[in-house]
Parts: sequence; structure tokens; C-alpha cells
Amino acid sequence: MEASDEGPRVAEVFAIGIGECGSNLVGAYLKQARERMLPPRIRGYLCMNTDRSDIQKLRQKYDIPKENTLLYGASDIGCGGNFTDGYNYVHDFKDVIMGQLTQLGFEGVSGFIIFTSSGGGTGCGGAPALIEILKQRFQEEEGRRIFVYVFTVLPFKDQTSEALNTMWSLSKLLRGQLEDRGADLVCLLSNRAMLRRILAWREGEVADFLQQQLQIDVAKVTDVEGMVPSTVDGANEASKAQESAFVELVNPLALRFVEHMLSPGVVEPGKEVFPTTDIADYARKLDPIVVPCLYTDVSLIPSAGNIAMQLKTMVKYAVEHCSFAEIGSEPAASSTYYTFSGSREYARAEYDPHIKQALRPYTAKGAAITPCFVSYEDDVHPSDLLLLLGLPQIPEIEDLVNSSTELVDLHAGPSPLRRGWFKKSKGVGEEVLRAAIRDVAELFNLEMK
Amino acid sequence: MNKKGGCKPLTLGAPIVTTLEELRKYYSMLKDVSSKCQTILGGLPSEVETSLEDVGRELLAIEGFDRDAKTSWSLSPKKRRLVKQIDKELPKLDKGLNRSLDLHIELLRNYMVELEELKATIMSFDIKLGRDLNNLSFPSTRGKYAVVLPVISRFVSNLEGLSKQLREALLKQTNDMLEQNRALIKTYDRFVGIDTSDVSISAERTSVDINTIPELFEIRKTLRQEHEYLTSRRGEVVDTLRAKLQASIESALALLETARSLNLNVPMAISTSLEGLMKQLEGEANLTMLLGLVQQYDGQVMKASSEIRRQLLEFAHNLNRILASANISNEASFLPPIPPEVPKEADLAALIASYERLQAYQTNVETALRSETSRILDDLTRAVKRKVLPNSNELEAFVKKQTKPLNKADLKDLVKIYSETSGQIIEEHGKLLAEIRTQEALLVRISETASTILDKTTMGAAPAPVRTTDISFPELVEAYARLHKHVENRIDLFRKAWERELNALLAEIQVIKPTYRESFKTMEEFLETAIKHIRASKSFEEIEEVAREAQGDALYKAQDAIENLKYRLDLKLRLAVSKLLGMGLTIPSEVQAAIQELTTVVPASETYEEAIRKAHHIVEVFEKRIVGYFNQALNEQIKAFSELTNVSVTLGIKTDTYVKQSMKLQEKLPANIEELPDRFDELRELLTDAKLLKDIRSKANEVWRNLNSVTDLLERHGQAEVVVKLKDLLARVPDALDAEQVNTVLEICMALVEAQNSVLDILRNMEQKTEAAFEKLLENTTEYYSTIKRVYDARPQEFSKLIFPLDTLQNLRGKLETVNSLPESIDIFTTIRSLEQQWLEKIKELDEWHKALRVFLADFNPASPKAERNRQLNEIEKRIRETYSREDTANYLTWAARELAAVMIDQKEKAKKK
Repeated sequence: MEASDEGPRVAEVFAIGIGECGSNLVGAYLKQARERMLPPRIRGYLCMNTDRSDIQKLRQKYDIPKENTLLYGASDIGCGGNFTDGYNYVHDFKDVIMGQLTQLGFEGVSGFIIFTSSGGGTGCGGAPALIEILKQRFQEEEGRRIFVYVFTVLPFKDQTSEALNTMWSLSKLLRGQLEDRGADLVCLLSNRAMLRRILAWREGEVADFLQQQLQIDVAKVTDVEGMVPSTVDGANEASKAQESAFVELVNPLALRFVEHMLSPGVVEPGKEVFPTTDIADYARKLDPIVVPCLYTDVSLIPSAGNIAMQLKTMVKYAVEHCSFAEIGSEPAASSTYYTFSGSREYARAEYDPHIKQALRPYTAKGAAITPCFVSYEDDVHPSDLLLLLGLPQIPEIEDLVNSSTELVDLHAGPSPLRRGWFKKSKGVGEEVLRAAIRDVAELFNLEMK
Repeated sequence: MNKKGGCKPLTLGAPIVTTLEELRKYYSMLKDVSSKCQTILGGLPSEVETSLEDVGRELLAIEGFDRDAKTSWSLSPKKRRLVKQIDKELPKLDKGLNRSLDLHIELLRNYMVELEELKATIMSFDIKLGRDLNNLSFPSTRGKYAVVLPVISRFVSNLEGLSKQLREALLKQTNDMLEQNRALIKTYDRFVGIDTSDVSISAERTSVDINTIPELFEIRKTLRQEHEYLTSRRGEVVDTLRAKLQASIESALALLETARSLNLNVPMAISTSLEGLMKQLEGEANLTMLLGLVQQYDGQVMKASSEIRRQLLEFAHNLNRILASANISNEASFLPPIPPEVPKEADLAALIASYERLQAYQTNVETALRSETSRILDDLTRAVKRKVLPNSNELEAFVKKQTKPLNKADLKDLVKIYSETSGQIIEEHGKLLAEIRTQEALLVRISETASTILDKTTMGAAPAPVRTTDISFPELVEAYARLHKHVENRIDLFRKAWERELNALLAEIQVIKPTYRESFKTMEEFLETAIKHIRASKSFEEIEEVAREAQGDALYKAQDAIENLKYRLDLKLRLAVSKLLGMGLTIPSEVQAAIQELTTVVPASETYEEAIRKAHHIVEVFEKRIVGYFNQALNEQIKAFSELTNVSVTLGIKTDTYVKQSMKLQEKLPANIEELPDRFDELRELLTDAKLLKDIRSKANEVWRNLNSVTDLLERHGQAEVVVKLKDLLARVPDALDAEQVNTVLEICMALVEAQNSVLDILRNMEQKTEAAFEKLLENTTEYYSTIKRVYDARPQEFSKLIFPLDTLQNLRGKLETVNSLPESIDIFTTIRSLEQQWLEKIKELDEWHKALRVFLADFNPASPKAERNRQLNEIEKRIRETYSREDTANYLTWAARELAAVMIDQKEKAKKK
């Protein structure tokens, strides 16, 4: 963070939501930000989509001005889960997109946060392409380093078509990194894990919400997250409504994480950050794929003694119960970044050794742990702990790999007519998809079935 | 004519009359033969008749042609055609004649064969005719009709003559035989009965009229056979007839004996004759003789029956005469139906039966008369028993007299008793009707008179007039009884109404208190006497007279009584007032006005009610406005003193003696104006009691001090307004306590006590409001407040000991509600505030502690089995105790974790049930 004459200068970012999921996340984030009066960390934002009706709904729902939305693509009915279309449309409409971003004043920003879903068509295919044109625009044409963070939402359970799209999306994003044209950091947010978190602590509210929206009695359902249907392949209105209801639940949780991630860079009176941290640090010190864990309103009772044990309990709870994707009790993360914020009495740098000690059981041997303490003078700020675990073991990814493999196997075979599904539905051949699955499996050291 | 015997061929133009004439002759001859054949044979076969008709028709046609030919020009084609036609038809006619003749000859020949077979029979029947017939031989029929027809014609004529003679002789003989047979059948049938199928011809035919000889012979033969059959049964008929006749005579003799036994006079000669006939029957007898005996028997029976019928008619006539003598129609409804008339035939049994029916009828008539008389006597008896008839005793005697001979009386006596009884009831009926009219008239009179004192509703509806036509005596008696009762009821109503009326006058006096009633005593006695008189009276007129007189005199007597009352009260009043004035009491203007009003009442009144109103008014003015005023004043003063003493007790001042004295005073409030001055004097002594005054002043001083000490606290808690009022009261106390009257001192003392109670209430109210606000503050301070409360509720003692002394706080709040001492209340109130502040600080600390529970409870699953849940909870407790070394923190979190787990389990259970 740099200081100027006018006061501390804040590294600003530009938020882009691509596809229905990404746009909704941006919309929800902005709405929440407006209500909470956050410092203007976001320079501007754009919600992109290839589906006209989704754009209209978005505007209406979050009160988003027309100039902050962009409808592009060959038709205005979306990509229907075909990520190749999503990818191509961004390149095809590159000038339109860049033109609108210019109008919105994206020049001079330090980075971009791209919100998307890994399993859709427009966002899944469009996000890698968008990163490519952004990197090209700033790094190759202006010679200026920018950071592009992708917050991608993994599909719900049993959404097999979305799982396959996720494989392609992750592979594409990570392979792009190798050429410095990919995402600097990919944050995985698992819908199913977030839903489980919410269900664990807000069961009553969730039950009411779902009862109201979908007439579902949660008390009688054992596997709620398994109830979210696939909506990329010819989904009906009921399925869309069902998915939308669940997304409504998990979006606020995802946004709290974004808020905490950006928080160290926000200058506020009576606030101290040690060591100084900004969004670039996350990209530099973490592996390309991270899973966040957010434990808000942490309980620490210094007067009750045994602080080391208390911090250990705090970390254990954060990893095992507050991760945004299921990582189990032994994630063996390759890198870790933690941000502990709260009033000065609690967010104390001397707790760092205890916290690191507490984190050791959850990291791989030799993995780096980077701390960040955000302390406030007053005592109204609750204590929050944000953990970013780089490349942890994610059982959910294994599920996605297996589902995707099964789906590819289902349509593979000697029959060219049968294989035609790949081109028709995904716009790529079988081999491309198998390569993507392999990439992901290898990255997470998974053995493919 | 040609050689075949037909007409000779006609020549054109030549006349054909000769030939046609011949043809007509033969045709006529044949018709004659045919006619005779029909007579002889009794009819012709159709074939034969048709053949003759064909010949006739052919002849007619030729005659037609012939006529036309005669009128035609000789050389005309028509004539030629006609001649040709005639020539053509002539052979057909010729042929027809021959055929028809042959058929007739055939018939005759067959008939002759039949006669030949009967020849012997005919000979035996009539030898001459037999010979003539034998001499008649059938002629030769060779040759054509011109030759044969004349011969046959003659033969037929002879045959017809013979046949006619034979038939007539046969018919006569056959009919004679038939008649004889039928006479026998009739006789047999009368006595023995006969099966007519054995003699069917004789039984069914009445005469024989058959044409053909053979048939006649046939039927003659049958009739002869039937005659022989009938003759063969003659002996049987004789036997049967004899037996029947004997039975009839025996029966007749027995019936005659029966008739005699029924007191019918039948001459013995008839029986003797019948016995003679019986003897004759015992000897030899043939049918003719028997038939003669039958005739004699019939004659004797007829004689006997005539005699019996005569006696029957006489019996019936006698019966009717007796009934008619008492003007009783034999068709009267209570009598039995008239028996059938005496039979006219000579059937002895029927006549005797008829006699028996007549006798039975007479018995039934007697029974009916007895029954009807009994019924009338019963009606009279019931009427007597009703005891409403004026002549009940006479009637009772009459009934007794008539009832006695009833059972043994014969028809004649019965008729007499019935006649007298029915006459009596008719007479009673008439008398009763007259009495009913009298009662109805009385009823009208009562209604008219009573209307001045009774309203129509009380009187009830007037009874419907008694029906006088089509009404039986018992109904009339009942109607009279009802009417009579109604009349009595009316009189009773009338009496009671007057009783009420006079009682009302009396009652108006009786509501005057006994103290003042002395003046009305004469009047009371007068009215009571009148009421007694009316009550004892049964006469409508008497009741009315006594009642009206009493009503009229009541007014004058009432005026006298008022005069007397006024005088007495005036005297008492003067005495009492002078004493009260002497005691220093003032007589208010309204009492003076009342006294004035009393003296100016004038006894003279227009009506009784007005007079009584005046009496009441005098009493009311005296009692309520004069004596009442003094009594009320006295009572109020005693009551005020009683209340003061009661209040004094609540303040802890001993007032038993004063209470007793005041109660005594209150109990004996004076009923008479004479006692009033003494009571007022006793009360004055109680109100200035020195000891009582001292006690009250002491209490007032104590409360005054308490209130002075609380003003600061109230001011601090925003009760400035209350404090201002309180200070004002406190400032008034010293002067008020110097008063000499108990009530004045007690009044200020009570005001102080009330103020103290109000302050206590204010403190309690302040506490309640502060507590509610504090609870709200706690709820707003921590979102875990409900759990904290649950933790405390589950372990109040441990919680109070280890975390915060919440029980002390709650106990103090409860105590404040019941404490009545103001200094103590102030102390408790202040302590509670201090504890609340400490509790708030503790709550904030607990809020911090609570955040940890989410972490520990993350591993708790409320859906697990109970054992697993317990294990999880034990593990959580262990982890909490490892994490926190401070005992209070660790203990509290353990308790809270268990409470939250219980809530989660409960919610899960509820969700499952839903």
C-alpha cells in the first residue's frame, strides 16, 4: 500500500462477473457493499452475459445500471453449457468488451477480480478468454503488471455436466498461468461446502428460506446439497428456480470471504495491518489454486488462560468447519496465508507462533505460512480468521474428476454419431476433455478411476 | 225332332214354338217329379237340385234367343246368328234333361231299396199299407226322358200317396209312445229320481215330427225300448215312494207333536188321519194307490199348517198390541229387529221355526225394554249422585221404586215400568232446562255487578250457553253441573274480590308503623269485621251489600284517624326539639320546614286513598325528614368515629374499647325522638378521648420521619413531582397534630400513612420498570442471553456461587414486593441497583465466552443416538476444560454446551414429529 499527499492510496480493483453465477455474485457483493458502506475498494464493475433474460433479471434484482452490464455473443440466449462458445464469444467481442470497460474507467486499476462459475457455459468458457484479453491489453500492450483473481464456484453435487466444464475451466485457467496469460490466483468456492456451512449454523433460517422458496422441509432431507439439479443442459424453470434458491443462500457467504480478502488493503482510522498486505501478496505467496476458510467472530478469552490451546482450537475449527470447499481434516496444503483481524486485545502479532503451530497439522511438510494481523483500536470489531490454503487435498475435486470421466466415457466409443455429443455439447473433442481431466487429476495427485 | 229324341233342326224363318213347348212340358214334368221326390225323401241332394236348375237356366236361354229371333227380320244376319245359337244350345238342353232325370231315378231307386228292407216292419205295423207298398213296383227306365219321364211321374205320384199315409200313422203312434214315456219319467223323477241318459229321447223330446219313413221307424223303435226300460223300474219306484211317504208321515206326526209341545193348538184328527195313512201303506200297494195316498197326506199337512199359521199370526198381533198400548213402536232403536213374516207355504217345519223365532223375539223385546229402562234409571241415578239437582231425593226414591220389580216383570209390566221411567226422565229434562235458564240469568247479573270491582280477565270468559236440543239427560246434568259450578266460582270470585278490596284498604293502614298505628285501630277493626262477614256469606246480594257499605264508611273513619295522629306527633316533637336545642344542636331550616308541613296537613279528603296518602305523608315527614335527619346525623358521626378507630388499628394503635363503645352506639340508634338527645351526648365524650389522641400523635410523628428520609432517593429516580407533594404534606403536619378532636388528628396521621404506602408502591413500581428495562438491556447486550438464563435456571446455586450471585439479586427483588417498612425498602432498592450493574458487566464477559461454544459444538450431532451424544458431550466438556484453565469459564462453557445441546436435540425431535 502506498501513501499519497491526499491520504493513503488504495490499490483498486475492477470486478467483473461473467455468466449468470458470476454476475449474481458481483451484484450481491455490490449490494452488500452499498448497505455496509465499505471503503470504495472497487473502482468499477461489469456484469457480462450472453443471455439477455439473465442480464435483465440481474439489473432488476440488484438495481444495476445498464452501462454496468454487457450482453454479447452470437445470440442472446446464452451458451447452454457450451464453454467453447463462451470462450469464443469473448474473443469475438473483444473490442466491445474492452470498449465498455474503458467507458467504465478500468484504466489504472491494480487488478481484476473475476467472478464466475466453473461449471457453466458463458462464465466457464469466457473467464479464461477474458483473462487472456486483459493480460494482453495491460501486460503485453502497456507493459504493466496486473493481477487477475478468479473466484470460481464449483458446482453442486451430481451436476455431472457442470463437473466436466469445471475440469476444462480449471485446466484452461492453470495452463494459462504457464504462459503468464492465466489467472494469478484461482479461489475455489464450493457451493456444496458453503451450503453445508450455512446449514450447520443457520439451520433454522435456511429451513425457512427453502420452505418459502421451494416448499422443501429441510428437517426431512438428509442430503440437501444433493438436491440441486443441473441447469446447463436444457434446464427447466423449476430446476433453475431450485438452483437459484440455493445460490441465494451461498452467495453472501462467498462474498464475506471476498470482503475479508480485500480488507487488509483498506485504510481505516484506528486500523493497523502487520505486515502490510495487499492482494498482490496472495498471488505471490500462494499456490495457483487456493481454498479459503473463514472463521468469523472468533472466540478468544485471554483472561481464561491457556491461550495457545485456545488458538489451536480456533485454527482447528477454521480448517475443519469453515473451509469453502471440503478439505477434510488433513488437507496437506502446499502454502498457507492467514489473516487474523479484530480488536487490538485479540489480534495480536505475538499469537503468530501459536497460530503457525496450530496450522502445522494442516499443511504439507515445508509449506510456507504467511501471517497478517489486522487490529483495530476500538473493541467493536469482531475477531475474524481467514485462512487461504494453497493447493490442498480436495475430496470434492476427486468427485468432479470421477463424474467428468464417467460422462466422457458415456459418450466415447467407436460410433462417430455418439462422439458427436462432445462437439455439439461442449464444442471440443473427447481428447481435449480427457486432457483437461488429466491435468486436474495430476495437479491434485489424484488417481483416475 | 231328330232321331235322338231332341228337337228337330230348325229351319231359317220357320216357327220353333212346337219344339220349345215340348221342352217346356218335359221340364215341368221333371220339376213335378223332383218336388214329390223331395216330399218323400224329406230333401234332395244338391247335385240333383243343381241338375234341375241347369236345365231351367238352359231352357230360359233358348227361350230368349227364340224371342229375339221372332222379332228379327227373317233374312237378317242377327236372325241367322240367333237360329244358329238355338241350334247350338238345344243338344245341351237335351243332355241336361236326361242327366237330371237319371239322377232322380237313382234317388227313387235307392229309396225303394230302403222300403224293401222295411217291408216286414211295415207289414207288421199296417198290413194294408204294407200290401199297397208291396204292389208298387219300380217302372222301367229304359229310353230317353220323353219315354221315361211320364212313367216315372206316375210312379212318383203313387209312391207319394202311400208314403204320406204311412208317415201319418207312424207319427201318431210314435208321439203317443213318447207322451207315455215322459209321464212315467215325470212320476219316477218325483219319487225316486232317474238317470235321463238311459231314456234320452223320451226325456229330451217333447214331440216327433220327422218326414222320412225309415227315420220314423227308427225313432219308434228307440221309444219302445225306452218304454220297456221305464216299465222295468216300476217296482223300484213303488218301494221308494212307499218309504218316502212313510218318512214324510212320520216327520209330519213328529212336527205336530213339537207344535203341541210349543203350546200350539193342532187338532188331533189330523194326526189320526196321518196314522191311518201309515197303516194303509203297510199293506200291498201299487203305484196308482200310492199316488192316491200321497194326495191324502198332502191334504192333512195343509190342514195342520193352516192351523199353525193362524196361531202364529195371532201371537205376533198380540205382541205388537202390547207395545202399541204404551206407544212403543216395534221399530224403536232399542228394540230388536222385527222377525220375518210368518211363511205362507205349508211347510210345517218352517212354521214351527217361525213360531220359535216369534217367541225369541218376544224374549228379546222384554230384555231390550228391561235394558233400556235400566239405562234410563242409571242416567237418573248418576244425576242423583251428582247432587246438583234440586229434587235429588225424590228422584232417588223413584229410581228405587222402579228398579225393584224390573227383573221379574213380564212383557206387560215391563212396558208399564218403561213407560213411567221414560216419562219421568223427560219431565226431569224439562225441569233441568228451566233451572239452567235461571242460573244463566244469575250469571249475567253477577257479571254485570262484578264488573265494577273485577276486570274481565279475572272473571274469565262467560260460559257458552247450554245446548238445549239434541242433548241427552246425562249430558244435560253435566252441563248443569258445570254451569252451577261456574256460578259458584263467580260468586266466590266476587267475594274474594271484595275481600281483596277491603284487605287493600286494611293493608294501606297496616303498612303504617305500629308506633303510629294506634290512631287507626278503630278503623282496622271495622274493616276486619266487614271482611269476616263477606267471607262467611254465600249470597251474592248479601256480599255486595256488606262490601259497599264498608267501602263507603272507610273514608270517614280514616279522616278521624289522621286527626288523632297529627295531635300525638306534634306533642312528641315539641318536647325533643327543646332538649336538642338545649344541647347546642341547631335545627336546620329543612327540619323546621318539615315540622311546619306536619302541622298544616288537613285531614278532610275526597277519597280513601287520598286520606291514607296523607297519613303516610305525615308519618314520612315525621320519620324521615325530622327523626331521620337527627338519626342520620348521629349515625354519620358514629360511623366516622368507627372508621377512624379501624384505621387506628392498622397503625398499631389500641382502640378496642373505643370500637366497642362506638358499636354499641351504632346498634342502639334511637327509634323514638325522645331518646335522641341522650345519644348525641354519649358520642361527644368518645370524640375527645385524651389517650387516643396521644397514641395517634405518636404514630404520626414516626411516619413523618420516614418520609423525610426518602425524598432524596425519589428525586434521584426522577420522581420530582411526588417529592413536591410529599414535602407539602410534611409541612402541614405539626399544626394539624395540635387539634383536640380525635378525627382531626387521625386524619393527618392517615394522610401520612397513605403517603408512606404510596412511596412503597412507587419504589416497587420503579423496581419493576427498572428490572424490565434492565432485562431488555441484557437481551440487547448479548444474543446469548436466553441461553445464559437457561444455564442459570438449570443450576441456580452453582451459577450464583461460581459465576455471579444472581439468586441474591432475585431474592432481593422478591423481598421488595413484600416489605412494608419504608427504610428497609430503600435499602433493598439501592442494593439491587448495585448488583444489576455488576451483572451487566458479567453478562458482557459471558457474551465473549459464548462465542467459543460454536467451536466446541461443531462436533456435536443432535441426530446421533443417545449414547453417542453423551460421548460427544463428554468429549466437548473435556476439550473445554483443556482449553480454559479458569474454573468459572470452563464450568460455564460446559454447562452452556449441555444446555445448547439439549435445545438442539429438542428441536430435532420436534422437526421429526412435524
